This record gives sequence, C-alpha cells and structure tokens, in this order.
Amino acid sequence: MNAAEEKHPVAATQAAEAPQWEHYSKCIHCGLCLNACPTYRLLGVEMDSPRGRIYQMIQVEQGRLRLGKPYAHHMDLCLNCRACETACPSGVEYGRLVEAARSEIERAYRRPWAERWARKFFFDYLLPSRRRLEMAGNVLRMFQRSGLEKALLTSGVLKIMPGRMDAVARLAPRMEKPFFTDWLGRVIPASGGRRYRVAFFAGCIANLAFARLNEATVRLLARNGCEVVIPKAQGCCGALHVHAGLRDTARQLAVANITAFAREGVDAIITNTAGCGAVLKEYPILFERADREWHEPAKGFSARVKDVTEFLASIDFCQDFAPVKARATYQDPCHLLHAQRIRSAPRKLLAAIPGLDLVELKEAEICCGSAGIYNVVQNEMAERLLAAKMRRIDETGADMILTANPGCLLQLRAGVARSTQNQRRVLHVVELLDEAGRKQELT
Amino acid sequence: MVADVKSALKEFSALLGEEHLTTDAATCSTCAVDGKVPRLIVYPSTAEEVAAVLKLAADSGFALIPFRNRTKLDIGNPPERYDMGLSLKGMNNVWHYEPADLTISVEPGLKLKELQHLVARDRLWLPLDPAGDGQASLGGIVAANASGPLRHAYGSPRDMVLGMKIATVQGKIIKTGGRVVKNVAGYDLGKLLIGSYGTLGVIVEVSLKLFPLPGRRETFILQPGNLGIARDLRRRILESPLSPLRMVLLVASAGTKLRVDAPRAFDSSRLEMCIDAGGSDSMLMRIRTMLEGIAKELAVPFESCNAQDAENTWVHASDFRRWIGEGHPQAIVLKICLPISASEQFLSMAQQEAENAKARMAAMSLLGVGIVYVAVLDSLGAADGEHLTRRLKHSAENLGGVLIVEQCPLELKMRLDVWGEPKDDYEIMRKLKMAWDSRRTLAPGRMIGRI
Amino acid sequence: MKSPPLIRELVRATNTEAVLWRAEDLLLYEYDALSVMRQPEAVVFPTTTEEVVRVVGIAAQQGVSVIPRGAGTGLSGGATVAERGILIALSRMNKIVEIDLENQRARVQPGVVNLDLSRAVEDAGYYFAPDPSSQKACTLGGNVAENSGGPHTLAYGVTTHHALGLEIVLSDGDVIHTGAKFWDRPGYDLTGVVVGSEGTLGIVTEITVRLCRLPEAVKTLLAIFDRVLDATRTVAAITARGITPAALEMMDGFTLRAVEAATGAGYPIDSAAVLLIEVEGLREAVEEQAQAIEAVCRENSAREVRCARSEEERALLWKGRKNAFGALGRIAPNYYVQDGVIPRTRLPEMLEFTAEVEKRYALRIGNIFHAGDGNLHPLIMFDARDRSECERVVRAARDLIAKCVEMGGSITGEHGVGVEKNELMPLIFSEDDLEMQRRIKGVFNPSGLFNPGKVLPTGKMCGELRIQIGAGA
Repeated sequence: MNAAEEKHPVAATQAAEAPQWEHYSKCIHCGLCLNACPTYRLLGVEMDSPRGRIYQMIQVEQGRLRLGKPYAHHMDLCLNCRACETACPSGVEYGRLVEAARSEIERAYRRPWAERWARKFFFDYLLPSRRRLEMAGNVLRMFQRSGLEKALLTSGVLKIMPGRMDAVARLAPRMEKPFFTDWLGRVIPASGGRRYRVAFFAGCIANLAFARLNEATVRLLARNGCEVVIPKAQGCCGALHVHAGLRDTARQLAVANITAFAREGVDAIITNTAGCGAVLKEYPILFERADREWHEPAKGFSARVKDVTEFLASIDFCQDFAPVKARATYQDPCHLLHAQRIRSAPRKLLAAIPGLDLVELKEAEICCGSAGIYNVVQNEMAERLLAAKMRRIDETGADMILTANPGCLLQLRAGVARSTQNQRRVLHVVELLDEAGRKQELT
Repeated sequence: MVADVKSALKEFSALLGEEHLTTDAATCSTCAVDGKVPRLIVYPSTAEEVAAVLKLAADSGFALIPFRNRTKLDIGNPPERYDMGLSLKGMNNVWHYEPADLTISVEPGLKLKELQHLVARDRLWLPLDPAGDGQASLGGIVAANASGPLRHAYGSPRDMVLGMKIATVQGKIIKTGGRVVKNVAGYDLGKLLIGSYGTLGVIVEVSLKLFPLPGRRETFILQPGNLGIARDLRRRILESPLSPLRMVLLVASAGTKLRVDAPRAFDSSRLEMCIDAGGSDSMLMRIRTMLEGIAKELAVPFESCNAQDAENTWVHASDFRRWIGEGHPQAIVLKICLPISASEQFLSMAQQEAENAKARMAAMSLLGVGIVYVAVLDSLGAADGEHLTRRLKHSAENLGGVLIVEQCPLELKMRLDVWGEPKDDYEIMRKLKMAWDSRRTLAPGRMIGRI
Repeated sequence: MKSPPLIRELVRATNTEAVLWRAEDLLLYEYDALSVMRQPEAVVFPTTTEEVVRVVGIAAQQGVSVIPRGAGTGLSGGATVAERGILIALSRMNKIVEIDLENQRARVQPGVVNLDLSRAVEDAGYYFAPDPSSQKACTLGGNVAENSGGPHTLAYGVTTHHALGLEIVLSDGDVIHTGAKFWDRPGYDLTGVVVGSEGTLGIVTEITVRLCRLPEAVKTLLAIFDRVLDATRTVAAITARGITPAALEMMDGFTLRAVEAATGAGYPIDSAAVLLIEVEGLREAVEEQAQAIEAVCRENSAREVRCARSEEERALLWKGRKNAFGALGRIAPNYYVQDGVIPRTRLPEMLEFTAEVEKRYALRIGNIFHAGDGNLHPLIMFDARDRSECERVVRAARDLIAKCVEMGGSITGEHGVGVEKNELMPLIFSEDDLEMQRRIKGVFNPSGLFNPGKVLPTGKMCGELRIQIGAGA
C-alpha cells in the first residue's frame, strides 16, 4: 500500500478557491505578457492571453461573465507555463490565479460526460496509486513490445479514429523495465566522502517511463558526495491535479509526501522533474485556504525542495567529465525557468563539460507544448508549438538537444522522431552529466 | 494675374510700407524662376506680415514663390504662374537659444553660416552641409529638406526640426511641434512642410535640435581602382563599427578639368572616396588604423588629408550641385535616390550612358545614404539631354530608386517632369495641397505632378 | 446564437476564424493598458491587406467606425473604442516580409512585435532603434501609430526617424504606398504625417523600417545621488559637456525602492535618486565618455558612480528600469502615469513642483524620467476603490501637465493623445492650429471612419483629462 492510498485525514473541502482580489488586482493590464504567452503568440486573441484570462477571471467574479464553456475553454487552453510571470513587471502570480480559476471551474462547471470520466480515471484512479500505475505500465509495455503498437501506428487505423488519436498515441512514453519502483525505500551511499544527505523525489510516471533517468540522477548525486535517501512512502506530487483544478486530491497527495519526507533528516529534497519541483515548492499555497494546519509543515517541506540542477550548481560539483564532442542546445523547461526562476544553473553545469559546444536556442523561454498532459488534452495547440520549437532548434544546427524535465524530453523526442534529422539525441542535462562523468571514470 | 493689379499693389504697400516692396524690373529679374519674372517682390519682416501677405496674394489671385538667398530656386518644375516673390531676408531673428537644452528657434531668413557662428561659441552646431556653402537660409533648407554629406551621420533637416510656425494663405499662423525634443501631441504637420518647397505654406519660425561639435576632425582619402572595389570598401566600412561623419565617392570622366580649386578626383578619372571622421585623438587613431587596414586588404591607396585639402574637398562635395552649375550653366544636375546597395552600380551605368552620349560627367555619391548626384557637363541639346536623362531615370528605377532633375536648361525642363511620375499616393498629396492652398497661390505647378 | 448581418458580412470578407462577435469575446476588447472604454461591435483579424480593404469597405457601407489595434499596450487609449465601431486587430499580420541588411531595411507587417524584429536581425549585428518599455509585447504598427519612443531615443530618435515607408488602407478602400526604401522620395512626406496619427488617418498594413548597426561597445553607468536636485542638475551638465549618451534615465528614491524590491537589480534603496546612463559606440569613445560622465556626476555631488561589469549586470539594470511602472504597480493597486515633456534644463524646477503637487493632493508620486529628453513619467499611485482619491489623481495629473505647458513643453512625449488628452489639446494649440489638423484628417479620412473620438478635441469635456480612472481591475 502506498502513500495516497493510506488516505490521510484531509477533509474534502468544497471551499471556494476562486482567484482573489489581492492577487488579480496586481495586474495593471499593461499587456507586457502577451508576446510571452504561447497561446497568444499562435492565436493572437486577448481571450487566450494572460492579461485576457485574468480579465475574464475578474469579470466572472464581478458577474459580467458567465462561468461557462467559453470561459472553461480559455482557461483549459492555457499551458500554465507561467512565461507570463517572467514577463510581468507587476509580480502577478499568474500560476496561482489560473490554478484557482480551474479549481472554481471544477466546482461550478459541469464538463461533458466523456471528459469527466477520463479525468476521473486518470486523476483519481491512476495517478495517486503506485500499484495501478505499475499495472498500467506493464500493460503498456507489453503492448509496445509486442509490435502491436508499431502495427497500429503504421497501419493508419488511428488516423481514422475520432479526435487526434494518431498524434496522441505517438507521444506515449516507452516503459523502461526494470521500473525505478524497485529503488524506493533504499538509501544509496555517497561515493567518496559523504558531504550531504539528500532525499530523492522519484515522481509517479517517471518511475516507469524514466527509470533510467532516475537512476542516473541518483548516481550523479552519489558521485557528488550525496547520500541519497529514497523514501518509500512518497507518491505523485499532485502537480497535474493542481493544474487541472483538483485541489482536494492534490492536497491529499501533498500531505502524503510531506509526511513521507518529514521522517528523513536531509539537506535537500531533490527532483529531476521541473513540473514536480514547481508544485513541491508551492505546497504552502494549497493550504492557504483549506486544511490550514498543514500550512506550516508544507512550508518546512517546500523550503528544502531543490531541482537537481539547482542543487548541483550550488555546491562544489564534481567537474571531472570526459569530453563530449557535440553541438548542443538547451531548451528551458517552463516550470524550471518561469515557475522556479532557474536559468543559469543548468547552463553552468553544461559549461563544465569539455568539448561541448552549447548554442543558445532562440525562444528557449517559450514552451515546447509538452506542459504536463497538455500535449494529450490540447494536442493541436501542442503540435503547433512543437513545430515552432523544432524550427528554432533546426536553426541552431545542434546535434544534441538538452533540457531538464521529462515531459519536455518526451515532446522534443516526438519532434525529433518525425524530423528529417531523427538521429539527434534528446537528453536530460542529468543524463549527459552522468554519461560524461562515468565515461571519465572508465578512462 | 487678376485685372486689378494696381489696387492690389496698393494694398501690399499699405500692409508693409513702401520700402518693403519693389516692382523694379532689374530686381525682379534677379528673382526669376525658370525664365518667369515676377512683377513684385515683397520683404515682410514679421510672421504676421508674411501671413497677411499670403492672404492678400491669395485673395488677389497672385501666385507667389517664397525665397531667401535663391540657392535652390532652380529645383522644381517651371512655375505655372509667378506674380510675386516673397523674400525672407528681413526675417533673421533668433527667438530662442538655450545651449544647455541644445535647442534653437530662428526665423527663416537666418543663414546657416550665421547660425553655425552663433552656436559654435558653445561648441555646438547644426550638422547640415547642404549646397550653398552656408549661404542657404534655414527656411529654405527646411522647406527643401536640403542636406549634404553630413547626412551620413546626422540625417536631414527632417531629423532636426522640433517644431515650426507656418504662415498660411488663410492669413493664419499655425504652430506645430514645439521646442522640446520629444512631442507626439497632434498630427506632425511640420513633416508636410519639410521638403514641400514652399508649396503649402511659408515657414516663419523653426525650432531645431543642436548637436555637440566633434572634438577633432580628420579626412581620409581612399582611391579604389574601380567601382567594384569602391562597393567592397563601402560594404566593409558600413559593416564595421566605424561611424564616419561623412563618406562620399567622387567620380569624373577622364580628362575632366572642372575648376582649379576642385578636389583632385574631378581632375582625373580616378575614384576618390573621402571620409570625414570626428572625435578624440584616440578615436581618430583607431579610425585611421581600421580604415588603413581595410584599404590594405583591398589594395586601395590610402592617405590622410591635410587640413586645407580637407576643407577644400568638403566645401566642394557639399556644394557639388551649385558649383558645378555655376561653372557649367548648361549642365544637367541629377539627384538619384537609391537603396544604399545600388549606388556603385548606378554610377557605372551613368558612366556608360555619358560615354555613349559623348558627354563628360562628374558625380558625387553619398555612399552610406544611397543618394547620388550626377552632373552631365557638356551641353547636349534638349533632345539628347532628354534621351540621356530618360535612360538614367530608367536605370535608377530598375535599381529600385528614383531620379530627380535638379538643374537643367529650361528647354529640357519643359520636356520633363523633373520629379518623375506621381504614384498611388499622389491623390492624397493633391488633396493636401488643396486643403492648405486651394487657390494654388504658392509656387503653383512646381512640385511633383505639377501640383 | 445567430450572428447579426454585419458579422456575416465580415466573415464573408475574411473567414469564420477571423471574426469575434460573441459578447464574452468582445468583453476582452474594451481595454488597453490605460483604461477601459466601450466594447466593439466586432473584432476582425485580417491576415492580408486585401482583407483589410474588404473590412474597411463593409464598415464604410454600414456606417460603423474602424479602430486599428496592435497589442493593446498603449497608454492613451488609442486602441480602444470611443464611439461605436469594429476593431481591426492586426496581431495576425505578423510576418517579417523582408530583411535587407545591405540596405539596412526591413519590411514588416504591422503586427510584428518590436523586440521580435530586433531579435531577428541581432545575429547579423543590427537592431530596430526605438525601444519603448513595452517593446517585448508592443507591435510595430502600434509604434507607427503612436510614434513611440523609449530610453534610447535620446541618441537615435523616435519611430518617425525609423519608419521610411508605409502601405496604408484609406477610408475609401484605396491602398497607397508612402515613402520608400530609399531617402528623399519626391512629394509630400505622407509617412511623416501618418506616423503618430494614432490610427485616425488610415490603417497601416505594411511598414518599411530602417535597421541600425549594433554598437561595438556599450557602457552602462549608475550614478547615485543623495539629493534629487543634484541628479536633475547633472542631466543638463552632461549634455553641456558635449556628450550625447545613448540613454539618460532618472528614477527617484521612491521608485527605485519599488524597482529593487521587484527585480533585485542592485539599485541603492537608501538614495534619493539615480541616473541610469548608457553610452555606446566605438570602444575608445565609450571609454572616454564614461570617464567624462563619471566626472560630471561627481562634480554634481554624486555619492557613487557604478559601472555595469557584465552584460548580465547591464541587462538587470535595464530590466529594473523597463519594469519600473509595473514595479510601482506592486505598491498600490492602481497608478496613473503621465507623459509630459519639458526642456531638460527645467528638470530641477519640475521636480520641486511635483513634490508640491504630491503634498497638495496627499498622493504618492513616483518619478521616472527619460531625463535626457526632458520626458517625464510621474506615476501617481492610488486605489481605484477610493473615489475621492481618484478625483485627486485626475486633478494632480492635470496640474502636472499644465506646468509642463507653462515651461514651454508638451502634454505628451511618447504615449500619445488618444482619448486621454484630446480635450487638453487646446492647452498647446490654438483653434487655428487645430483647424489645420482637422483639415489634414479630412484629407485622409473624410468620412471620419477611422478611430473617431481620438487625438482632436471633441469639445465635449473641454480642458479635461478623459481617462476613466480605475475602471476594471
């Protein structure tokens, strides 16, 4: 039995978590966010701009706009990439606003039945349960290995399916056996002398689809003098729930994680997933209006959360790397750059690899379209963003594409796979650091 | 002209006083434009008088051309009518000069040289060097948007005018812009007047932005072997961080001997690229080194000019249009406005065309601006002159530019529209003219489309 | 809901994706960065000049006005609806049509974002010089309409010095091409009149702009003062020394404390004022000018003169400056920014007057100036929920503008007249002056189809600021 299934005593609340005046009144509708917003850049309409979305929230609040389908549509279309927060001169916390708006939509707006069913299955049934996730992962893996997937994708059957099944199916992550779930509960000793004791946040789907990345992360931390604790009782971070407005479930997941990590005396809680990191750092917001007793523990938890690149760049990290002969470019994950404001850390780490020619990517601060499960639920928009991203990547002439978030990896790999130069590697910064470090150890 | 000339004259006289107008034939003939001699010249001394004169002229059905030193009166189509000249030589006041604000407001009759003299004591200047060797007045310079080689670094009067007062044929004085360097209140009417050659209204006061004088100056001469090399030089210099104050290319047909004091290029078939740089010692040192480096790479002879040669070169380059005209009254002087990249190509075409027409030519090209002045020196006769001009116009248009005939014998002028054909924005220009000057009192027929 | 006939016609002229007409969508087009006005009848998103022509034709036929809109970042209400009309949103006409580096020109559609153009040519060593603080979002079409400036216009001029040619759709549906890629095209300078006409003369559908060469070297200095007066005096002292910095900006202590809290750029929060000074050009020139400026600052009692040591430090200082309005937005729920211009030698006097106004109306005013240009942006803080405070704000703003006029300045330096200041135009223009401006408008836009109720006074609220303060959030 794992974390969320323990059913922590969190009262299901229907308390309104609507956008608050103290937050939206900071918006001076100057419009400086517009061109930073991926949806505005593509659609060019106010309704799909950050300024326009905030204006809609205010109008809903003031009763000038109905909380109906159009409103829900514009809020859904937001990637919650938070590039607008970086652009905003007034310090509007847009992520907080859109998440509150979605929570309100969840309460007050009835979605079509199929959507309701799919959301319930994914958010309530699948994600919170490690056991069910693992089952699903095994089924998907069998499907992928049997050749059935390939047959299906090449047959064109999906093309005649309703919606965008064909494009969506190509985004399914590879299931990587052995799953990382085996590592949960273990403590990995530091190589060399122990300088830090850290806890590793392993995620949910990442345990199945990014098992090798998780291993690389732990190895890299150990190589940098970290004793790595991987608490067994941890679970899904709840980021996707927060983004979807499902704050009650998110709170349950948060409480489980806060509890699981509270037991470990560690210097930092490390994640390699920008989306998880952002929400882990913002757990206190979840408990501002509900379950107040968890607010302080959440603050204590969040203060220790560090992205793996942020942590490594802040310590005297091991710079003993084998040369990597490649022209590489780096795409900033939105939730690292905009939500966590981490820009220089990954670049600093990469600069330490000899031979690596890092070319800055134009518009690296614009979302690639991955955005959690956005590329599945808003596939058309995501595809357009990916196409634009791939054009920019092509301009750099890079043969290696780096990023620092699994979701972005999936999206960029899909982009590379369908491009003419489909041999280009797409790697997490951690994977390259681990690879170059290990190669150096062998020589 | 209306029948009742006498009573109109009386009214002008009552308005300005006897001493401020003349009907003397000799005086009037010095103010002739394209062979048309006015009957009357008036000399108002205030803005209000100018406005009153304009209204009276309009009401009397007189056609009027404003001027000061007549340095640019040959530019434009022959006037359709020309009854009276409006001389601004009585309006030379400096109304406002604040060195620390780098602004000055002057009346239109003030000569450029006078203004430069006034502001030089504060180490300032108005960085303009149009034809006329400083004798041109500010009103005329602005009305013609006249510029010279300094345009390379500083732009044209359009970039320096902050505001103006304009007398209209309705007898009003209109204010536009102001004395401050940034101002977006209302439509920028001043832009319409700049380059309108006195066809919309008469500028009675203009406020200008001043600039600090560069510390030291030095002129460099490069001699590219041919126009291809000149083009490479131009590209290299424009792509470099060098920012010269002036950069011109002087070209003349072989054996052309223009005047004893002419710059050397005009005495031979050599191309000379003259570059004027300004700044501190260390800046000039750097500029010299960089230019020398570029010259060496392209195997182009390079030298630094002594002060007197430099002065002589720039006086002639700035005044190209006028002194060529003075030495060769039958010359055709053309101004060709091109995309920067096309200058050398046009020059080469012009050389070829002149050779075909068995005429000598001289040219001055503002390389970084895309403006080329070409003078055809030999008298060709109207038909051949027209043929050559049309060939060159065709070349200019093929290169994406236009050709303006700035000066030519009258019989040739009668065969052409000196500005070229109007385009799709002409109808608006015509309506603007009607909105300002519905009776076509001001220089009728002189602007594009004989407006 | 069935669409009204006007909408069906607009859709026929473009396509269904290009027309917004539902109430919940139109709601989002009632504001710009200044204020909230009325909703349009429809918003149309053309992608070609031909579509613009068709839309203009329909509007003319149906007797509704047409208001062009870029990104809606304007600060004078130019892109909002003053009288019944349809908005032509040009955000989808955002192609860079041509980049011609050898000729230092680019041809763009009006919806191209200012900074996107500079980014597109920066690798080749060029940029587009006008740099309004909103440059990361505002469009070039909007820049043309407002004749936008920015900090670096001190040395390089405003939009009118960089827009060389326009394609314009007129109210009768004619398309004209003004100016050219080259200088000195014969005829009247129509480009010069249309730039800054705030969308009242025609719809600009293509712009030819000048590109400038990026300087070899840039140095950014931060001069810190303990007395505001010393900072303002330094401004004229620098130009008197024969130096024209690329930018010369001033922020007072109140402002920079807010800026520092927002950006952490390293602004000294205990000082009374700072000057942000940038010099650029040839390495040698930059070095010498920076030294000379430092000396001038010290002579005028600067406490300290810092020089940005890296591109990051420089970018951070500018980020602080460009985000200053927003930073002050954190302090109070609302602010109202003014845009007066005065001769730069009058800065000390103007600041004293501003302090007086602050006291007179019991308000907080942050001072941000393009000091080198004498262009002032006093930001008046308030809370829109307090009606009496709103009234005081309007009165304070009016006093500040009147003072600028009295000093021989202007009511707007770069934000435009729009619906905000058209009733103030008589402060600086006589009835004759305005009559001539009306005639110009009559030539381009005889039917008054384009952007009515802007720029020229309507006579309805003579001498009043027309801002609807605090509407919306």
